[in-house]
Amino acid sequence: MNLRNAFVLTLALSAAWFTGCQSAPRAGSQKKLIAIITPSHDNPFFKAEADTAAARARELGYEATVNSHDDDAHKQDKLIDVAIANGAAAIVLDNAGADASVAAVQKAKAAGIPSFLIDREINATGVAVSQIVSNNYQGATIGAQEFLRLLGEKGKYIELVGRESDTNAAIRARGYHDVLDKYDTLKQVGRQSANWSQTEAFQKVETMLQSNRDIQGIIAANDTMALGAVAALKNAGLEKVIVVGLDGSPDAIASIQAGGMRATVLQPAATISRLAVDQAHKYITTGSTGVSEKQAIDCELVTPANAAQYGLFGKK
Amino acid sequence: MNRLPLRILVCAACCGLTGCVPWTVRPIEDTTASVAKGAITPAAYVDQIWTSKLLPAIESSAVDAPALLHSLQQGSSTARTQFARPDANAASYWIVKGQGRVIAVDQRSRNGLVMVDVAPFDGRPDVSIQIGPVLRGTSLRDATGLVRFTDFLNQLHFADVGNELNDRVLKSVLAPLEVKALKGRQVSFLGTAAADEGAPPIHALVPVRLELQP
Repeated sequence: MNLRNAFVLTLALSAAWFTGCQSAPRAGSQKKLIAIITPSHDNPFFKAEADTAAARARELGYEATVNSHDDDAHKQDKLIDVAIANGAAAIVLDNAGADASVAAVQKAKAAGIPSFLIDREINATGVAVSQIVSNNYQGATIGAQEFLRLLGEKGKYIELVGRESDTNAAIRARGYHDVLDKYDTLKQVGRQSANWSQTEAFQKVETMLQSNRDIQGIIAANDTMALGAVAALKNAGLEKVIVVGLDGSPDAIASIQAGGMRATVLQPAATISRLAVDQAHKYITTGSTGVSEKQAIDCELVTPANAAQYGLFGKK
Repeated sequence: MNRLPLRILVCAACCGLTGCVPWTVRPIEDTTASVAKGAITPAAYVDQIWTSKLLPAIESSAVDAPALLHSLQQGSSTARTQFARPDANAASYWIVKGQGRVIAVDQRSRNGLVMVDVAPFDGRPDVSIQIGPVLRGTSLRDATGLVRFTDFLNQLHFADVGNELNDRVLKSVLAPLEVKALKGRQVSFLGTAAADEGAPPIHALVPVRLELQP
């Protein structure tokens, strides 16, 4: 190969690369693709957000793929590669870590694929097109306010914290304490992590009750731990103790209706997913979402009075 | 030939060669850490906007309480279309000013409230105003659209600003006021409230001004 030919080849390759970066549709498919990637669907919250996003994408005429990264940044990276290889028109992602996900989202951006983050933030701006964040802090504050109201702003309580490595565990704990710590009539007599787990919550509450049978309330950073607490209290004959959770899971809403938990805070997964797909569609068709990158979506309080209005992570 | 791996390689190589980092990484950190690094504190941020931007924006965009109350009687969705300030995060807020008579001071909760009857007087509360010592909600942060989530590192920093704004109301608006003495008196008020349904029709207003009328 002489020098001139090599030059032409380089030019051709560059051109192919540039056009390759722009092109979206897959060969043999008329429909554009939206790749939806979330944590494990074992948790009904993530299943609801994935299902809603896929349904909305199909409604708008897209093909949709749904995959789970199981909170593994490495697996997430692979799934982003697949989305790039498939020439996705957009990625809707509930990410696997605020720091670990930045590079993956950047990689999609470099390949010309816009990302729309749902539920959780990443520690960077200008990489994703949208970050539609479930406002966990606000959710925790309204849960704590209802907990206070139910307790008459006084008494002894236990707090169940989430998995310590999870950003949302810290955010929810901050929200609870920013509200509760302003009341010196309230006394925290126990605080333990139950790692978001129902069985672990059951065991930890059972143990804590041995020296604290006189508590009036238990506030848990998610619904599965709250349900574990309800079971432990029932076992100990302490059904009067007030239990408040967070997430708005179908099991928690059923418990509220059956007189178990007294309140939860619903994260509007359905709204967030629909918003993300709608913004992706607008971005694909017009080149802009028309809204700020970071958007915080408020959570809603669910009590016996309004529980019947709520379904799968959203209003019925 | 499959172009794709090459394309990724070229992309990677470009970044590697130029050493460019095309995004900014801002780690989630607690407020004290960012203070230590010389980043702006919530208090300094609020200092910057309180007098120069926030109060003027609230003053100039406030609707008159009687007009809002009249509209609310026609239905809350009508009132929201007419008067509410939707923020970027799908919530909506009132910015409202008015005068009225304090018919009750409710301090059973630490989230104390005064109940205000706005003319025409019927002895029933039209507006409840938060008087502390605990203030709730983020209407003051979110109602004007001046303070935007997208400008903050993460939801905790955004929350800090909301808390700081409420603290500013406690210190500069409510601390000078003898709240117990408000009962039966005429007051004028200006503030923000979440535009959701509840009782009274305008409820849990966070006052940036609450003054006894002569």
